[in-house]
Amino acid sequence: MKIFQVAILLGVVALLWGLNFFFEENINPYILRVIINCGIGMILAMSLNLVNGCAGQFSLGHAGFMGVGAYMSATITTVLNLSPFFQTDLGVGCAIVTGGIAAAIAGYLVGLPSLRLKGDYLAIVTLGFGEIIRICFLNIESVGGARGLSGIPPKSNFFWVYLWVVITFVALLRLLRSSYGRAILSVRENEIAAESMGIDISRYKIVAFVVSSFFAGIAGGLFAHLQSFIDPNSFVFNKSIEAVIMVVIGGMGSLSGAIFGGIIVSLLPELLRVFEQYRMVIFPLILIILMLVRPMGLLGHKEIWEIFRKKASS
Amino acid sequence: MLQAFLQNIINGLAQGSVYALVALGYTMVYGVLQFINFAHSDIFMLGAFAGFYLAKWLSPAVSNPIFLLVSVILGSMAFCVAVGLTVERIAYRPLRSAPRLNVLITAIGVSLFLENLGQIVFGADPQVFPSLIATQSLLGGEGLVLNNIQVIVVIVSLVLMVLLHWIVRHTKLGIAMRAVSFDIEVANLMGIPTDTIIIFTFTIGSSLAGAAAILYGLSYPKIEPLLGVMIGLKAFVAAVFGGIGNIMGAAVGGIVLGLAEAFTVYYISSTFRDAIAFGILIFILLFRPAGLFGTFRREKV
Amino acid sequence: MSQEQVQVLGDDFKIDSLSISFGGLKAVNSFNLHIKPMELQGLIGPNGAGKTTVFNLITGVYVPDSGTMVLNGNSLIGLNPHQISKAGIARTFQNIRLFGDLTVIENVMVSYHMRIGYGYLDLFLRTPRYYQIENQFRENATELLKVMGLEQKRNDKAKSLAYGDQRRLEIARALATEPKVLLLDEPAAGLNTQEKAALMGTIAEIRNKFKTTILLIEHDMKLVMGICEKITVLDHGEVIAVGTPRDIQDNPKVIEAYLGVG
Repeated sequence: MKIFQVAILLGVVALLWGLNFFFEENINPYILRVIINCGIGMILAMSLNLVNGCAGQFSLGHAGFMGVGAYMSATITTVLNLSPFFQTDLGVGCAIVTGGIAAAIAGYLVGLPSLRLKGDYLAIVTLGFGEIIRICFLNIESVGGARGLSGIPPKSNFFWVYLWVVITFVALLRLLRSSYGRAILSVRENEIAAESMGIDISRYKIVAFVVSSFFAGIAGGLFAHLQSFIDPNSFVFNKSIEAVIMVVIGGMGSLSGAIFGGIIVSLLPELLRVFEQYRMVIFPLILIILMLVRPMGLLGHKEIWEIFRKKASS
Repeated sequence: MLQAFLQNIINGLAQGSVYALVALGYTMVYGVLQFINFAHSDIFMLGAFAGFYLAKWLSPAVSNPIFLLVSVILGSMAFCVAVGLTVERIAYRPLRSAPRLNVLITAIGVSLFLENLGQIVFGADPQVFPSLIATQSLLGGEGLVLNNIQVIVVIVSLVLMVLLHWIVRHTKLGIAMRAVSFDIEVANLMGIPTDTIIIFTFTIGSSLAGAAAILYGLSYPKIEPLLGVMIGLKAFVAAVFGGIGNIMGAAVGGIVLGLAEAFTVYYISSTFRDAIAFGILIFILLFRPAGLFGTFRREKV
Repeated sequence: MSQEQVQVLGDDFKIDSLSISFGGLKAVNSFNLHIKPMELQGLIGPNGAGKTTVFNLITGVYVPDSGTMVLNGNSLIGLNPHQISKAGIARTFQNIRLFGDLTVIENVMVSYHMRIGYGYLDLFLRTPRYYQIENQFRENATELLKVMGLEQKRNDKAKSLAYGDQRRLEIARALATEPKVLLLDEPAAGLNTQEKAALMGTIAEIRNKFKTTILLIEHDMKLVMGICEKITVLDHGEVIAVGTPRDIQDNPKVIEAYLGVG
């Protein structure tokens, strides 16, 4: 069993490594950039899905956690000037993980109010936290304030981003397929019943927030080291909304749906580039129409393979 | 010291009454339908632009500034009502029995749609709102500034709020609205036409947003399509502060928030102006989630 | 207290003068209840008598204004619902509260979470311990579903079950917490006469099979009479009678509460 897992892991790493080389040699840099952006979108969507889709809480502050991860990792690699190690791939990787941890801590703090608040209230509070985080960056001069932070080593490539996509996917899938995951889902389904079956609902709301924020922080770190420039405007409210749209399009609670949502929302602006100025009108229209005609999102609570399995057996 | 204090009170009151008017729209819709009408902030923005174009069109023809101001306010109110009712009819009504999350997401969608549509129609650059009434200083000197605009803003807001209070307390529709916000299903069973009441609620909320938009344009003559975002969020905070669903609370919350901001800008820093609203929000939700005047309803097991 | 005495006390569940009021209205007033291990007791009373409120007080959904609750020597007052569940009290809900979008077997497996023996690292790395415990949970849940006659439907979504099955799944889920005391809130509500009779049989069986103490709320007096050893009658938040089914049947106060004053 163990050896089998390690072999798969090595296989995936080798495959991504190979694809990375292949893409960098053979694909137009613009398209590669779009593909990498899709990867970051997937991580964002999958992580937000844990809170909004699985735990049934409603967070509108995902951009804030992304921002924490981005700023934390960029501070380590760019501002602090600790050692040349943090200019290397591995060093940047460590910085990004640290960014994820910082975001997880922020997620813990934001998760606390979720213990007392529901629905719209929670949405507004998380929105408020997201904005406060952004305003903090705006006021910290050492990370550039409103001017932003530039000169971040551009180390995020296809390999690193998609390695994190795989890690996020596997980690979240395994979490959901465990007793802890069932506890989180039971909170969404019925809080009072969950409590009566011995589930400490406060604890699992926090767990959802912390895990979700960690991966949002990772996405932020990857984003920072892709753009090599970040400013507080990279993490505005609209970014959070974008993450919500990803989750909603894919289907709340569906991990594979979140991946689709992440791809669609990252691709759509590129596909609608012809309509440049109209695309931001078309976007919300799609959201409204989706809510009216298919409120569960494309996949609902189901995973894509469940749908195929059903088709195959019937 | 004292002058600065008084000045902050004046500024806070003027800004706060705009927040209060917008907050009323949030709180009334929340009271009746239990959801945050995110699009409300953009209806406010559209009101400002409606006023902008109306003023441009009317000002050559109308010389009396008071008459001009009144007609621009009424025009903006009417336009906002039209938009508000359209949004309600198309986006919200089909979702009346849908999960609240879906309604919330739809509301966010409508809001984004209006904002981005505004950017296409009006252009993303700020426009200068015409000064309908020449600014006159009423109380100049010694660093204390009080002008006629600030007085007009406060007075118009006050009149509208008193009018609203009267409508809600004493008219048949107002009483029915309170019944619906108490329990929509029971009100329905009692023969109250809930759809009519919801339309009525959107009408009042949107018209107040229209009026608020003109008052805002008078005091801060720079309008742009994303104008509503911050004002809307803050007005919502004001509504939550006062106890969402509570009309009196929204009015008080708006004023308090306006004052808090004025003092923050003066004593701390203008960059924290936007943070204070969210700070208040988080504080109130953690320690008194029902708001200042609200009551908390417990889920029945 | 010697070891032997603890044994003798067993899972005694004792409630004394439990009270709560909502906005001046005394919903439950000095409620007393004493259940011996493996006893099957009924809690009956007309509509609005406060039966479900009693359950909500016992399970920590409401915090009582005053009174004591002691299970096996431990006080339950002030504990959260999940702590009370861990202390050994499980319940079903009158208005069914299943995890609708989870499968039948997952509904039951949620209840095993309090006995989880692996950590986050185990699940991320899928260690042998993870597989062992998850498989154990799955086996136990399947076993339990067999008893409740839901085994065939174990991979269906809970919300797609027929009404009677949903009621039984509620009981299965509560049993999965391995309770010392099981509280059933109108488990037969909405069932027809035959289904009701069958369910009452199942309940009596459960008691013997799982060795649990059962407190049962039921509207229908006749049904309760058939299986309960002792009955407590509640009216307007107060206990108006306690006794064997026979005592209760002849009690004029009970007749008055149910039929109204002639």
